[in-house]
Amino acid sequence: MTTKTFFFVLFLTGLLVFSVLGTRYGIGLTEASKEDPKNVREGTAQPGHSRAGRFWLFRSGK
Amino acid sequence: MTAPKVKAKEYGWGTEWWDEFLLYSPEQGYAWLVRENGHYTLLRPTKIRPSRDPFRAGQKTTIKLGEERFQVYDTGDAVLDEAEGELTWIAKPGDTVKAVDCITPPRIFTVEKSGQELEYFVGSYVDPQEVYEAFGLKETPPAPSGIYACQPFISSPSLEQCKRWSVAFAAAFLGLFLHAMLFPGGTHIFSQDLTSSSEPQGMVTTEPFTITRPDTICRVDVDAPVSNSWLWLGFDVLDETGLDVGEFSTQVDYYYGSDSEGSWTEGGTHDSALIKIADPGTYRLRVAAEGGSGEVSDQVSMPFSVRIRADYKPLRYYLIAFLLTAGLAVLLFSKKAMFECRRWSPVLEDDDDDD
Repeated sequence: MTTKTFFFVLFLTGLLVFSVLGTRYGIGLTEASKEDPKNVREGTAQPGHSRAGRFWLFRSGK
Repeated sequence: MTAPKVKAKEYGWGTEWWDEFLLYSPEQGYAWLVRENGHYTLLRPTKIRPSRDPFRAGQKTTIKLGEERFQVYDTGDAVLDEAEGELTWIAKPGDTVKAVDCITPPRIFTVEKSGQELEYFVGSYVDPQEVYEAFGLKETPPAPSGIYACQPFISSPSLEQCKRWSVAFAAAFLGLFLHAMLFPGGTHIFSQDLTSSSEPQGMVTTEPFTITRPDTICRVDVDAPVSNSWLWLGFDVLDETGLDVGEFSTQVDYYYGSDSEGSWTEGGTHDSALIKIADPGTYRLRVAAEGGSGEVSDQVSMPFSVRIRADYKPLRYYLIAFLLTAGLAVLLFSKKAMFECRRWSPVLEDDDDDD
């Protein structure tokens, strides 16, 4: 195995470890943790939502 | 090198310069060693005639020379710029010949035409180090630049090994991805039918559910019977004390209709979200809803159901790893194709410019 191949396999092994740990521990997923409480909501804290898509293009005749 | 040489150039898209060294061996006769951009080819005169006139053949046309099949690479005017040493003819700067190169790497077939006279040369690409060693030169030859017309593609042991490893890992990631997709695992820990509050910005709270392991990945599935309407749900994760420890949202929207292209549908009545709950304990979800059939929220009292599956295996990690590895494999396997692209691009651009 050449040095280049060694580092390439090392990278792929790292990817394998990342994917296995990611699948088990949800790396990067939205997390709910008691150590990181959110602000208590008053009403709907998130901004108002609206719908725009093909339906509205259709309805508006565009 | 002290062999007699001529320096020539070709006018065209860009002026190319090269040196030709005339070699002589009592056993082998005359040969030309051509040096261009650090690349070397060794050519000998041949009396074998090509299957067709390469000057009349288009680029990439196949031409047979004996049992060998060459492709027309480039045509141009070669002009002698300077000469030194003893040559087999009286060389004058400015002498011009029409020349065409045909290749089947590492072999090259060159035809030169001057007036009614045609000369054929056939030869091969030679490794620069081999040339230096043949002439007893101790130093290392300068690194060649670019891809030469008849330079062979030489795969390195690293490349071949990396190809095999990338395929092996891509297959492993695909297997893990398919396994996770077919056997997502996890257990249903919660299910409840709810109706969003009809009061403006009102919220509803679910029954409690229990998480038994730290760092539990939960998949929350939401279904709502929307029809040409939408429903957005904002979830707060509340712990035993009512503290909001996490937030996420889902949106279902389903539309259908018909237009000049026929009937269509868009969206669906289902959505899902993933959330990692770090600490074991009992939790509830507080849900805020917006929705309706208009562009802005006008109908918040809508039924929906929530299901939670704990210890869910997300597919994204294996999928990302597979796509990345498969991409690398494609890149490694296409190195030869990219090499060929680089070989041909200068002369193909040359033709485009001529047009």
